[in-house]
Amino acid sequence: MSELLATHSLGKRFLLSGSGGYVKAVDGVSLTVAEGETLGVVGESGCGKTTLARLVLRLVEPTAGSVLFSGYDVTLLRKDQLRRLRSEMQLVFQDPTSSLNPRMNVQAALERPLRIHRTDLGASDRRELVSEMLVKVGLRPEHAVRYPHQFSGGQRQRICVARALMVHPRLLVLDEPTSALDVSVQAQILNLLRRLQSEFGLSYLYISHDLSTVRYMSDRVAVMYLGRVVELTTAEQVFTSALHPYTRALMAAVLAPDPSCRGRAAVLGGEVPSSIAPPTGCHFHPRCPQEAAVCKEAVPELRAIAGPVAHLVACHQRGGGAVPRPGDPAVFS
Amino acid sequence: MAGERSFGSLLAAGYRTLREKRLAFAGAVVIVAFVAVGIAAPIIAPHDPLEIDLRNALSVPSAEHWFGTDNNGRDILSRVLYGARTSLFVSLLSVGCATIAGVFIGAVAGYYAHLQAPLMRFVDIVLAFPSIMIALIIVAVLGTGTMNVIVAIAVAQTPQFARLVNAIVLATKEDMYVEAGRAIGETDSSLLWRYVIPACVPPVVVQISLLIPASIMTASALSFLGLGVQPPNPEWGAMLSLGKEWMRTAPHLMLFPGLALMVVVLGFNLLGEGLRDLLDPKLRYE
Amino acid sequence: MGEDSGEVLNIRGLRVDFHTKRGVVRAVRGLDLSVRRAEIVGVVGETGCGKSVTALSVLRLIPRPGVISAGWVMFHNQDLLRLPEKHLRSVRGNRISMIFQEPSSSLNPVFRVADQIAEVLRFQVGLAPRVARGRAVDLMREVGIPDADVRARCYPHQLSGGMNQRIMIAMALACSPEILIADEPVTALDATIKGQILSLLRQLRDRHGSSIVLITHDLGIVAHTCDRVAVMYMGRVVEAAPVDVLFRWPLHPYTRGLLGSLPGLHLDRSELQVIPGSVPGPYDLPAGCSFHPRCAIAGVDCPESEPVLADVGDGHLVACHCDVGGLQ
Repeated sequence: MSELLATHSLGKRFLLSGSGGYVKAVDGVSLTVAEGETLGVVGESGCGKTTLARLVLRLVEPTAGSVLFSGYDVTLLRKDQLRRLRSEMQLVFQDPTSSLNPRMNVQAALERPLRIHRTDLGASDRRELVSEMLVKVGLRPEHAVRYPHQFSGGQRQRICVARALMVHPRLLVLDEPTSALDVSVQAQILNLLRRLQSEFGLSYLYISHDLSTVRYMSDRVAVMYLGRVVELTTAEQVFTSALHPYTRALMAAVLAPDPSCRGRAAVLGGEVPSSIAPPTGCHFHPRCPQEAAVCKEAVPELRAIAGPVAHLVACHQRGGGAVPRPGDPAVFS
Repeated sequence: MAGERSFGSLLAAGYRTLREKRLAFAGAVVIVAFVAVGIAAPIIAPHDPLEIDLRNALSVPSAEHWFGTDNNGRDILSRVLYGARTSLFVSLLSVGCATIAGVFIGAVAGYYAHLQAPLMRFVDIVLAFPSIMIALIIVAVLGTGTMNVIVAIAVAQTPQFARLVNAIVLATKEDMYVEAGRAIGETDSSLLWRYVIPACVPPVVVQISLLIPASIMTASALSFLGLGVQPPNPEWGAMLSLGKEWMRTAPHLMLFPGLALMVVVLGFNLLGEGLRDLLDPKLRYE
Repeated sequence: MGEDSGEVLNIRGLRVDFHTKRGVVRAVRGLDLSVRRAEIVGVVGETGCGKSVTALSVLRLIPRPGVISAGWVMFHNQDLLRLPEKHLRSVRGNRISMIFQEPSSSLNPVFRVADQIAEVLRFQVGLAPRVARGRAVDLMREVGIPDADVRARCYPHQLSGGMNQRIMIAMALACSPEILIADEPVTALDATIKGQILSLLRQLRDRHGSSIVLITHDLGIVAHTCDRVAVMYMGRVVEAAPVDVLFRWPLHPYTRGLLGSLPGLHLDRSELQVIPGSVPGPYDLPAGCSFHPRCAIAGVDCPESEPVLADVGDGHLVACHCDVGGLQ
C-alpha cells in the first residue's frame, strides 16, 4: 500500500493577542496514512487534533513542517492548485448542524462540489449524481428538496458525508463525526462509514476523543497530548500493549459498559495543562507516575520500539511496568 | 443558525404571524394601500393636483373636494394622493441605493480583513452625524430638487446598512458551514456571496422596513424647509410648510398631509416590528 | 451497598407537557421512578427521551411553556409537586440539590467561586458571611480542589471545566442534601477527568449517605457508577433493574438495541447492531407502545396500548407487551 498522506514535523503556532506569547497547538507531528487505511487520532481537549485536521487540508496555514498528499507538498500549492486538491481530500466536521448552510437545500448543498470541480456536468447529470449519493448514504432522493433543519442529527451527518464524497476524494478527514450524535445513531454512521470506505476505496483520518469508536474504526492509532504525538502503532497494540504512560492512563480511564469492571478503573490525577504555558520537556511529566529528572529537561522523541509490529513511543522511560487494561486495578494513586 | 427556512415556509409563517399580530397586520394593510395609491394616483385622483382655481381657494372639504382646497384652489385630496407617489418614489430609490451601497461596503469590509479598518472608520464618521444634517449638507452642496434629495438620503442611510451587514459578516464568516464551504473548494467571493451575505438578508429586510419611513420623514423635512422637492410638485412636507401659514384659519391644509404622513410612517414601523419578531425568535423555536 | 432500603424519593405517574404553537409536546408521559437512601440511580436515554425534564420536575424547575400535568413526587411523605413555593425553596439546594452539564456556564461569571458556595450556606442555613466562607473553602477541599484557599478567590473562567464541576458539586453538597440530582455531570469533561469526578461522587455518597440520581446518555458511566438503572424512551421508563442485571440480561428491545450498538463491546469489528429508524420527532408520537415502529419483535398489541412497567423478579422491571421476561 502506498502512502497517500504524510505529514513531516507539522506545526501550528497561534499568536496570542496582547501578551505576545503563543500557543503551540500542533508541535512536530509526523504521521502517514496509507491508501485504503484508517489512521485514528485520539486525545483529549487541547491536544491539537482538531487543528491537525485543518492543517492537513490547509484550511489553516502551518507555521512549521509540511503536508504531502500523493507526493505533492500541499503547503507549497498556489490557490487554484489548492482548490483542485480539495476534490481529493475532504473533511467531515463534528457538528452536522452548523456545518450545513441553513439556507441551502440538500440539492444545492450537494451540487456545490460538483459545480466547483465538475464543470463538465449539466444540470440533469448533477441531479442524478445527487440522487445516487443520497441513496448511498442511506437517505432518499426526495430528501433533496428539503432544508437542513428538517432533518435529524444523524440524517444531517449523512448529508455531510454525502457532500464530502460527491467528487470522489481519496482521503476523508473525519473530525469527531459522531460526537454530537446519540449512541444508536452513532452506530448507524459508523456502519455507513465502514461500508463507504470499502465501496469507494477511501482512506480515513479518523479523529476522536472516544476510544471505543477509534478502536472500532482504525487500523493504526496515534495518541496526541498537548500538540505532540506520544504513541503511534496499530489499533490492536494501542489497546492491549500501550507503552506511553498517558496512553495507558487513557486506556484505564475508559468506562466500559460492563459493571464487572467497575470500581477498579484507574484514576489519573491532575489536570490537562494549559497550552499557553505547557510543562517543559515532556508535556506529560507533571502527571506521570514514571517521571524522572530527564523528563523535565528534554523533549522525548518519537522512537520505534523493536518488535514484530511497528510501534513508536515518545517517552524517556518507555517500556517500563505492566500494561493495564480497561478495568484493571488502580495503577495511579 | 439552526432553524432557518426557505422563503416559501417563511412566507407561510409570515402570513400566520400577521394574522396573529393585529398591529403588524394593520401596518401591512397601510403599506399596501400606500403603494397602491402611489402607483395608481394618476388614475384615481379626481383632479389635476397642479390645477389652480383661485375662485375656490381655501374651501373646506365638500363633495367636490373631499379634502378641501389650498390657497391656490388646488384639490388637496389629489395633492395628497400624488404626494404619496412622490414619497414612494423618493423613499424606494433612496433606501434602495443605500441598501446596495451599504451591503457592499459592510460585506467587503467584514470579509477582507485589511479593508475592515479603513472602510468602517469612514462609516463611523458619517454615522456620527444625524442623518438630517448629512442630508442638509448634501443638498447645500448639490442644490435642491427631487433627485438631490434622493442622493442626500441615500448617503445618510448607507452607513446604517454598512454597520449592520459588517457585524453579521464578521460573525458569520467564522461559522462552521463557511469553513465547510472552503473545504469543498469554494472561492472567497463565492463564500461571501453564497454563504455569508444570505445570512444578512433577514436583518437587512427589517432595517429596510424601518428606514423607509425615516426617509419619507427626512424628505418631508427637507421639503418643509424648502430644500427638497420644489413647488408646485405635491409633496407632504412641502404641503405642511405651505399650510402652516393658514393653520388657524384653514387647518385642513395641514391636517390631511400631516395625517397621511403619520399613518404611513406608523404603518411601516408596525410592520417593521412585526417583521423583526417573525424573522428572529421563530428561528430559535424551530 | 444500599442495604438500608428506605425510599427517599418516589416519582409516580409523572407527566410533563410543553404547550408550543405547533401543538403539545408530551415530554414525560407517565414516569415511575424510585430512589432509596444512599443509592446511585442512573437514568439513561438518548436525546429527547425526557430525562432532563424529569430531573427538573423534581424541583419544579420546568420553564414555560412546560407544565407538570400529572403525577406526584413523594419526598418523605410530602408531595413536592403540591408543596407551597415557600417550603419548596427550603428543599432546593438544601435537601435536594442539582448539578448541571456545563459547569462553566452554570456558575455565575461575576462572582468568585467561594462566594457562590457561601451564598448557599448563608441563604439556606443562615450562616454569617465569614463563617459561610470558611465552610465554603472546607467544602472545596472536600471535593478535591488543590490549593483551595487560593482558588477560592478565583472566578469561574479562571478555572478548568473539571474544577468548575467540583465547585458545582461543593455547592450542591453544602447543606448535606439527601438527594443529589446530577444531569450529565461529566459529559463536557475530558476522559481522564471524567473518572475523577465520578469517583468523587461515589466517595461523597459513601461519606454522607446521600442518594444520587445520575442522568446520562453514556452507558459506560452508568455501568461504572450506578447501583440501579432506569432506561427511558420517549418520556417513559421502559426498563429498570440493578446495574449488573441490566447489562447481563437486558430484556426490553430498546435496551438490547442500545447495548448492541456500542462499539466498545465489538472487539471483532463486525458491523454494529443498529436500531432501525430514528427517534420520532416530539410531535410524531406513535400510538400504543412508542417503540413499536422500530421494534424487531413488535406484535399485534403493540400499536394498540402502552405497556406498563411490570416486575419480572429480582427488582427487574420491564414495560413490554411481549413476554420478554422469559428471555435470557
